[in-house]
Parts: sequence; structure tokens; C-alpha cells
Amino acid sequence: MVNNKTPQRLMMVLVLIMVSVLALAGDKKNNNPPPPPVESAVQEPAPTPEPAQPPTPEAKPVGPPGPKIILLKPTMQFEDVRSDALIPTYAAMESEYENHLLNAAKEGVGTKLPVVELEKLDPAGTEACRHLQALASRVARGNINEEAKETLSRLAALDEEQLVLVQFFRLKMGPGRSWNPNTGAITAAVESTLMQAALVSCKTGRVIWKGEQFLRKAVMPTSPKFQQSLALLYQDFDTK
Amino acid sequence: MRQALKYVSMALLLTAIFGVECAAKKKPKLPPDPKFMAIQNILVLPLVDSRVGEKASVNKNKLQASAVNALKRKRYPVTAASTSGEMGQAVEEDFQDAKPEWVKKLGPADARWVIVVCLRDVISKMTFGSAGNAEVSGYLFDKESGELVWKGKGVGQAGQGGLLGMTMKGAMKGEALDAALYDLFSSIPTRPKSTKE
Repeated sequence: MVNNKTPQRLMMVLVLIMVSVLALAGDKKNNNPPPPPVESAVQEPAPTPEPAQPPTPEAKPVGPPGPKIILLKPTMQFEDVRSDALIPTYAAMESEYENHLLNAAKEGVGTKLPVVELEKLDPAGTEACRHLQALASRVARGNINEEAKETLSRLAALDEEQLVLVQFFRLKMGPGRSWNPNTGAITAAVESTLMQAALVSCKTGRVIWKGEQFLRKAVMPTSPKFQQSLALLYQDFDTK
Repeated sequence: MRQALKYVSMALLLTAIFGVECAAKKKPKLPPDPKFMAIQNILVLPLVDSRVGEKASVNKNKLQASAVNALKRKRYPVTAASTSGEMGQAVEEDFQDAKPEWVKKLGPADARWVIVVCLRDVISKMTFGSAGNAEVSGYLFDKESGELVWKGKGVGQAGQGGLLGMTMKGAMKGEALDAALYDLFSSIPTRPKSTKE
């Protein structure tokens, strides 16, 4: 006579065997070596810029006599707000943003005073300008520290009447906007575009003019809003 | 036969439960970073406002207190400083490119570990509802060596949709700031309980 309970018992045994096998498999996974420890976000000391060579005796003022403006290349930053990573999509358009900024600067300042291109400076001047570009994020908003003053004085040694236009551009991207239909919670996107420029006297280190445009949106180089902001940036430009 | 089967299945079940570890992958515990374990007291300096554009009003003392509480939850001895020391009016770039000689001027002379929180942005706005965003950054220095021990960034978002959300606009800034501070300090390792004194 066949026992009706035998298939049920067999099923129970099979289930138990499967549970044991799964548990053993999990044990094998746990025996894998642990991942390497995460390094602390310790910043390496920033490399100190090499001191510029003193101006050569042959260095002569460039351009026409009288005050003139050295137009520095804009310092660009494309920043992820959560880390120090670049934003690839926008960073790829860096040259476009740069061209727009330079053109706007030439249009804005060229009517007031002659503009000296960076390429026309001698090596000492170029080196000093490169150093000043590294400090653009603070100089462009009018914060002149000792390092910037020293660099400006090196430019003044070449030509006392020189003024420097420093530009800084920063585009930030972060978490996007969201909506949770269950709780009704919403979030706004974290993004912004900042354009700053400052006109500084090389001789005195005084900030003659500064301008700033801040948009709570990451704008594309062809965006009308970007063009409008550039125009507004230099709207009240003055050399006095 | 029936009893044998019963005992075997019971044995297998008990073995599965007690004899083998849970199948869920456990995170292996990393040894604590000695740099953080060596900290005896962190001094939280006054908040540095590095915002651009239009600046909404912010209670900086409250933010400093929130930073102190966040570090206490991580089991660090913390105190709040009322002065920034000899550094004067610093900007965020000063902390990013800090030289050891400048670091030694941060905070009171007798402090060793100092942390400074920079407020990069905070805003609240009304849509169909209201939302708030905040960004902060933090830098922890060891004045004795003049080195940067830790740096981090934090982003906070808060918001509520609908008509009810629109009435809560005033609270969104604070909520976003709290979230940003929580995000900022999440990258600081939590000290084990045994070092708590």
C-alpha cells in the first residue's frame, strides 16, 4: 500500500536541502577578501607656483602709451557640487564659453581703453598673468590677497599704467529636481552659472571695477540667457 | 523510516539556521583611520559665508551648533569657537590652498584640530509648493602639522508640493541646511564606541 504522505516528506527534505545549499553559498561569498579601505579625502598640498623670473632689462611696455587693459584668459570651472569631479557634458564646451566671455570682454572694455592681448606680452608678463589666472576665483570678485598683489606689482614693473581684467566662470551641477507622488515631496535642481570680472590696477592693486552675474541655471553657450548675462556683466563697466 | 526522515530534516534545518552565516553580504569592518582616532578635541570655527549673489539671511550660530551636534553624533569631542583667531576674514580659497604657516593661525593658539564650515549656497523658492537647496563645504585641519586632515562637500534638498508646501517655504531653508550638514559630515568616519570618553 502506498503511503500518501511520502511525496510531502520528500518535498520537505528537498526544501531543506535547498535552504542549506543557499546558506552555504552565502558563506562562500562572505569569505571573499574585503575591499581595499577607502582613502580619506585628504587633499595633497597644492603645488606652489614657481616664482616668476624677474623682468629682463629689455622688457618694454607693450602697446600705445597710456593706460591699457591686459585681458586675461577666463578661468573656467565646471564643478559637480558633490565632489571635485568635472561635468563632462559642459566641460567639453569650455572653449565655446571662453570665446563668448572673451568677446563680451573685448566689446565691453575695448571702447574705454586699448586692450593688450596676452600673446603680445613678454615672457615675464606672460608668466605673471598665468599666476594671476590661478588666483582668478578670488581676484575676479575683488579679493586681492598678498600673492595677487605681488603678481600685480611684477606686471606694474613692466608698465605702471597697465590694468588687468580678470574673469572667472563657474558652472555647477548637482542633484536634479524630483517629485515623490506618494509623499508629495519635491526637490529643485541644484545648478548655477557664475560669471565674475574685475578690473585691477597693477600699480596699486586697487579694484577699479567689478561685475558679477549669477544664474540659478546651468546655461549652454548658445543660450540667449547666457548672452544676455554677458551683456549685463559689462553694462556698467568703468575705468575710473 | 518516518522518524529518521524527521530527525534528518530537523538537523538540516538547524544546521542551516545556526551553523552557517546569513547569506546576506556583510560589509567587512575597516580599521579606523589613525588620523581621526588621534583627535582629542575638534574646535568648530565660526561659519564662513562664501555665497555669491543675493544672500538670504542665515542664522550662522545655529549652523555652527548643528555642526557641533553632527560631530558629537560621530563620537568626537567637540567645542564651538567664538573667534576665528588670527586668520581674519578668510574666504573659501584660503582653505582650499592653505599653507601650513597659515593653518597654524586658525582659531585659538591652544587648539590643535580645527574644522571650518563654508556656506556656499542656500535658497528657498516657491513653485507649486516650496523647495530649498543648500550647499556647504568643510575643512578639518591639524594645526600642529599644518595639514588638511579632511575636506568634504554637502548638498541638501528639501521640498513639499501642493498648497500645504507653499505655506512651508520659510522652513525649507533650514531643512535644506540640515540635510546639507548631514551630507557633509557623512564622509567623516564615525569613531568606535570604545574611544568615547
